[in-house]
Amino acid sequence: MSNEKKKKRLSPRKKKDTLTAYAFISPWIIGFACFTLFPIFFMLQVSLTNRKLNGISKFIGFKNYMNMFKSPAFWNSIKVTLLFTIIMVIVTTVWAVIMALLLNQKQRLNGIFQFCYFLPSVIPSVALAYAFRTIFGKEAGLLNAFLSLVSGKNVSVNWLYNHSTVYMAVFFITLFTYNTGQMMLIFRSGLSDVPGELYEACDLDGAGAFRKFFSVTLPMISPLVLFNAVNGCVSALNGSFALLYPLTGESGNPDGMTQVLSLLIYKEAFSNMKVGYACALSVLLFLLAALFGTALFSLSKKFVYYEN
Amino acid sequence: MKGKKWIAMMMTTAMALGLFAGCGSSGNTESAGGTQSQENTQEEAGEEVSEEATDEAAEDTADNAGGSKITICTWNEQNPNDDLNMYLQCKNATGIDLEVTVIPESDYSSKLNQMVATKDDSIDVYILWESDIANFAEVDGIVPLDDYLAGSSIDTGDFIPAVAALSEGMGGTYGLPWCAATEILFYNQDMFDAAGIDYPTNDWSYADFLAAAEKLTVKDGDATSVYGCSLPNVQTWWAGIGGAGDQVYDPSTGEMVIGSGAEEFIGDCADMVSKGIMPEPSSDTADLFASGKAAMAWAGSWNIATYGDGLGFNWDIATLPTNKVKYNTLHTGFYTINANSKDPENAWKVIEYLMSQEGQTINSKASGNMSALKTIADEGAWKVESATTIENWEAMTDSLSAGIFGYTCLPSGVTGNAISNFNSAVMGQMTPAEAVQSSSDYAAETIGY
Amino acid sequence: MKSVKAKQRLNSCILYLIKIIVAVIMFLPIIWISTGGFKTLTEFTSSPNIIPENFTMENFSYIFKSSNIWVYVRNTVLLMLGTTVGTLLSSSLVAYPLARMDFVGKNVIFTIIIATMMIPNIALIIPQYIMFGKIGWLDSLLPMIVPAFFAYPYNVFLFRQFFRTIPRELDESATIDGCSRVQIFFKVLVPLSKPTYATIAVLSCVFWWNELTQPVFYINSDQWRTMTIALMTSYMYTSGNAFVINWPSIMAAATLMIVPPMLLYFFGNKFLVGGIKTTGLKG
Repeated sequence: MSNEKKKKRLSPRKKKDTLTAYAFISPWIIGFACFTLFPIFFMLQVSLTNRKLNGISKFIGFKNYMNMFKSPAFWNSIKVTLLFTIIMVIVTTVWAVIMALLLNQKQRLNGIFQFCYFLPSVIPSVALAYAFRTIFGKEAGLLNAFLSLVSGKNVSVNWLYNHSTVYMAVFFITLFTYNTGQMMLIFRSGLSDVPGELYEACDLDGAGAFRKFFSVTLPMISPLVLFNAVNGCVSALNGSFALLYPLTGESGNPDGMTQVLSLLIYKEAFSNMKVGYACALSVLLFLLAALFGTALFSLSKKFVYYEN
Repeated sequence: MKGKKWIAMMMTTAMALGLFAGCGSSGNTESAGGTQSQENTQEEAGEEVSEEATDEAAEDTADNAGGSKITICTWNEQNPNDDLNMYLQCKNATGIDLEVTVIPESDYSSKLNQMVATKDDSIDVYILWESDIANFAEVDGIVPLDDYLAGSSIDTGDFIPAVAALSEGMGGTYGLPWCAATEILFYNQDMFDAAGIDYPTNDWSYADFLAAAEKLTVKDGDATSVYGCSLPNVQTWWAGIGGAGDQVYDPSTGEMVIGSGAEEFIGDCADMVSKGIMPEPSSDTADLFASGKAAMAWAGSWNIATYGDGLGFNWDIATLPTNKVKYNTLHTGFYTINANSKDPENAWKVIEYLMSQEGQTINSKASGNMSALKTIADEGAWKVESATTIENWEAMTDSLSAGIFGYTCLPSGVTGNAISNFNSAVMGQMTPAEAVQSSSDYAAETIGY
Repeated sequence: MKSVKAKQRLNSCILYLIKIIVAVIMFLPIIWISTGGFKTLTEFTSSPNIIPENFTMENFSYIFKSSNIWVYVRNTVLLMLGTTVGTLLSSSLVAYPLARMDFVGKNVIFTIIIATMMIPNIALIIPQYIMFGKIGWLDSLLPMIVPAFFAYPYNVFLFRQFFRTIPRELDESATIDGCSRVQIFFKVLVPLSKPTYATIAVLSCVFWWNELTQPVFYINSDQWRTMTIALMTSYMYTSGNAFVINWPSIMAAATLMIVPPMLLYFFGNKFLVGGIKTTGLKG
């Protein structure tokens, strides 16, 4: 009650503030209108045409959408996108927490370790993809050679071409992406902010390391986990292109198993020149992102602990 | 205080740079902006890119006022040897400052289509692929060359028949073929000797090939140490399919036509892969033939020049083994002039040089590809000098006469998708029939768009 | 007592061991890339040696002598600085009222900003591509630099979180001193937020140095290629044969590409870790 009164009383100042505030925000408003809102409507419009890459287009109604829902390539890529996004977020978040926890144990040489842990994430994803294409190669790949050496047998697994190993290989590579490194840094600062008394209380209870982690650390860093998950989701939808395009190609070898929606969009728009169809796919990717966003935020209300 | 200054300085310099970037790029477009700065920045950018080029061409640019610059677009890196670099020689001969933009094969077609859609004028001469030239002509992205040809010495009647057939129905000549390349069988003579098998000949049958591949395979326990033949590559998959009796590409409808032949050939490959005679598709795309781990390879004739004398074993070539029909895909590209080129006259001069006796000869020597002009091809400059172990040069002429335009006329997304399916079938992840079906469905959906 | 100490020492040893294993795993690709640049193509595709047998400088000399490397570097630097400066300026301006002022529609705007954070760029890239094509911006760095001057939601969010941690009393006392909002922003907030600016600058520089997706869509010609694009175009294939991937050349170029972010890490280390710490993401 009193708050509202106060607001009313300050009304002239607030009016001025509102004007100033909007002046400050104006860059974003312009940008939002030009680079987000307009493209969204434009995308919806183009998705109803058979626009080709060379610009020729004709209105064809919902035919793109109908073709899309009939296309096995589309359903496959939706499946792959969901799988890829969810698992990539989980894998990279867990790995980032592990690395942050390790670095949080104060020991000598931590600086060097942090350097080693973070540096891979500044490798350009193209370089990373090419490096791993050769590390995971069948004939002269480093991993096969290493496994052969360790096992004493001749190991020749075709990591990136086998149904059973391709996901393992790809998710392993995601551990080295920019996003993982960034998450690790965020977790690291989050962990050092956890009040030491909480651990001491745990020690008095005689709790083990695991219980400490699940009953103190995790709740305390849960807002960070959420933030990173949201961010990781966008990166997985976005960054998967930069990783997979050089890694497994626009067709998502083998057998479309890594063809996420962004790769399909690129392929349809630029290799097959079906821009209208690619826009229809983009609409679906947009909706998918919205779905992930809503899901994460409603999850957060349930599980995340905020210290005011 | 120090930090504040640092940030301020960084911001200002970066702002300035940002502005520069802005102007520099708008210099290439018609978008509004200060004309003065446009000119300046464009010049600057030009200078930086072609610094070397201007130095070398400076000697005889005198007659070409202002040193006009022509940009040509290709998917091949330039030859490191100056004598075999036709673009450099063109520069020397014509005095035109020729700049080469390389766009890799994997997205060549796509990038060129984007350029034509936006009426890009940064490239004057496109080397267009078979699948693109008709579309480009249709949207007036390239100019007809008939007027230029009328006043030149290039004899269009001299082209190999397949090339002439491809330009039919476009209402004019829009492009001139830069070469005629085919697909052939490469084989490692040392391995044939070791296995005691006769060398392949130009009338080898497909059955001969299968038998030889099996015998040439060297096993080390379960694993293969030498494969009988490497896996077909993105080009020769189609040669195998065509050889097994499929039409591959129907010029009258523009559709992809594969069926029982494809199933058969994919089945054979899958069989060989499972027996360890052929390698699986691999992410590191190593050339197993070149590294001595495969006794044979079906590959493009341009590999002759790449291998040269650098392989460390004796090798030779033969035509691809004949299955139901003798089939291989012709490869070329067409020199065309961008309709938005600012200087079509000089662009034509460049093309004229590249199509001349001299230009074609350098190209043949460097790439191992024949000229599409019969009289020039007959002189045999394509017999790459460094490939000393080759005796069977007739394989090239034989292949060329059997070659037709096939998969190269299809959109790259369609063929890429099909190859991806074939690879899956070879890995046993789907049956050959499924691979063919899924590729055909995808092709129909895409081409009919 | 002794056994406790022994146990602690054992724990610490195990911890070191784990740390070292993780470090080796994480560092492996960098070693593979940087040694790969010194191999010949034949060796690279036929043996899994980490240390090159026939040490060659050919790949590096090709990069410096026969390619337009300085053009690519120029483009990458332009892109990196342009976007970073743009986003620092605009994002912090936008974040300021969201963090420290009361105004009509604040919550709506903040919600929209958070929501746009969730939109992956790639979903809108095709319409943007057509749009930029129409105004003639394709094949230039403009489609990437210009939007940066109109605030990135993610960076707005980071700035807002930091600005909220600065006591409001500072604003009030500055107002009493007769400062306008603009003056408060530049005279009070910006100097106090230097570490945040540095952090976001470092993150943004690293991101744009490595960015592949947008240049893949927008850049066609050699003249505007960035290093990442050059890696998969100019350095990818052997000369004269468009189908043989020249792995060592890619690795050599990649090695060169890793150096600047590595230096940035050395010099910007304290901003990376420290900056994020103070940013505090709670609430």
